[in-house]
Amino acid sequence: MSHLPRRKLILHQHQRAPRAVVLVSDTFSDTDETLLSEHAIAPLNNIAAAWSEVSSTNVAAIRSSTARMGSYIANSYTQSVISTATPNVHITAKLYHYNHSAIQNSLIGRVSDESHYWQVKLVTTQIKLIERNGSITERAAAAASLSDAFYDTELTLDGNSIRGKVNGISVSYESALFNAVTQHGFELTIGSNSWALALAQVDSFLMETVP
Amino acid sequence: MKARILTPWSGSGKEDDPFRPRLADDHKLVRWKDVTAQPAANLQPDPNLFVVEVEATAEALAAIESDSQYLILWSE
Repeated sequence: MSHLPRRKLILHQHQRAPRAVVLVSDTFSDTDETLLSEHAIAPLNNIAAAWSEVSSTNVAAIRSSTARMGSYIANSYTQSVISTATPNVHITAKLYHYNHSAIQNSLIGRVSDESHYWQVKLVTTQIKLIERNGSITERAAAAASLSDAFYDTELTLDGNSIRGKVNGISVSYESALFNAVTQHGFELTIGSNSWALALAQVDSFLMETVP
Repeated sequence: MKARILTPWSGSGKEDDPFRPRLADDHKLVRWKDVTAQPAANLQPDPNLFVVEVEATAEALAAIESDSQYLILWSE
């Protein structure tokens, strides 16, 4: 009888912590001008998924091994998503940041349509966590000093916890809104400046489960 | 420093004018987040008030404290 607690302890020591599973990893290596909707996700696609556009006034296309806005159309946007089987994901990607409101790149999660989703966005000198629920509501923000460059950007959707992080600076919010929706991706937006076209870009998109 | 502060909402919920705390327009904050979680469908509420948790410098908090539009509930 006295040995039973010891055996239980040994069993606990052999239990493994849950690990994240990579759903997709896309480095956007493809022929220039390939539409993102026709691009094969690589190097990892563990859910046989493809990119699709939720809604857009522009298109996303491959250029120089990044996903970019396809052409210059003033004040246009494109939302590209991947359907998964889970609303709980951790997304990382390199988003280009430019210190001007004419260029706004973001990660979007739990996207049910073009105006309902969570978003972590780089806007001039701020990182914003935004609820798009018909209207647009900023739920959290943090000041950031960013140069014109690619930044590792994260969006984590874990139950009611919504978290964003850019360059080590985090924002967070608690909400059950959209928590059964399983499409996630990114959004590119350009304003009325044609030079913004070259800066609306995302690279190294990785989406994994939340353990 | 951290604080919880009562602020009105600002904005119309549009792309170029999102709903946001007026406090963030008027004062320099390191970070803020909505801790009231008022549903977007009810914005702006009447009375137009909600609570944000902020991180800010001592100087910024002193400026907020002297601004009659805002009420600091606690700070540490």
